Amino acid sequence: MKINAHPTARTYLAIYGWLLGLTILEVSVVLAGWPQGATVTILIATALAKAMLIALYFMHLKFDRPLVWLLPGIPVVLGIVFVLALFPDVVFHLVQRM
Amino acid sequence: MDRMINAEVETPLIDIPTGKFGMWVFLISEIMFFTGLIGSYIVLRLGATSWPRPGTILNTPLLGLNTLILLSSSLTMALALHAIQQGRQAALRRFLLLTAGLGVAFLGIKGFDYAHMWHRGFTMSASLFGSCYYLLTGFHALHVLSGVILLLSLFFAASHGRFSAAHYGRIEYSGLYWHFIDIVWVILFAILCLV
Repeated sequence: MKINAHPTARTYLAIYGWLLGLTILEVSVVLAGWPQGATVTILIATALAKAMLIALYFMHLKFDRPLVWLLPGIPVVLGIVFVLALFPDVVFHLVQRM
Repeated sequence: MDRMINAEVETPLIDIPTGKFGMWVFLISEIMFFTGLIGSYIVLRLGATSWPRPGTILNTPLLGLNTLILLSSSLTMALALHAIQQGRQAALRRFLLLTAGLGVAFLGIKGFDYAHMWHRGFTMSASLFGSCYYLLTGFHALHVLSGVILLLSLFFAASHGRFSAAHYGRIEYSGLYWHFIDIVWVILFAILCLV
């Protein structure tokens, strides 16, 4: 795929189909009442997959130069670091309560 | 006509059009904004002694319908860009109006959801979950409202023939914003409404 090429309408429709399928899967998993661990894992995986599909195809990141990837990539990594940095504090308070 | 062409001229900045670069810088600030809110929610939830299952409080099928509406609006926005890249003016106007309409439908359902939840006693001050739910979804709804206003302004500009197969930068950059709103909802729907 050459850089700055544009997806076709058929590609957009295919991605939309995947997004709908993943959303139906999410709601089905919750309504089925599966164990919490499995439900959380599936929901986070499907949410990330949907976000990636939208970013790659609808926002055209798949067809952009690698430099454009850096722009949203840096704050996303910072955000993950931010949440992980607070985890020791959460664990500390949980242990204190036990 | 000259004014229109001058407004669309862009200086390449590291091979990225200036307008696109500007929109991405704006989206970086938005990513940090929502990451802060979502990160706080995760930390509050993990640190809480007890937390209600969202499915017992929220109307999951209604929120699922709202998700389908916003995903559909992302498709119509992508098709609007596709249309103007091929110089199809009528299709551009149709898809822009459809996208704005789906945004309004999303906001209408959200308003109905808020009224229903409020009536059942699930208010902002009812619990920590209530505060998080209204804060996160409320800020997201404000972004959707901004997006709808932006889309309507694009529709009126398109009605005056301001875009063409050679000049469609504003459609592309506004699309980035709209798809970003969609991504935020996809994540909120999963971690706030389902997990």
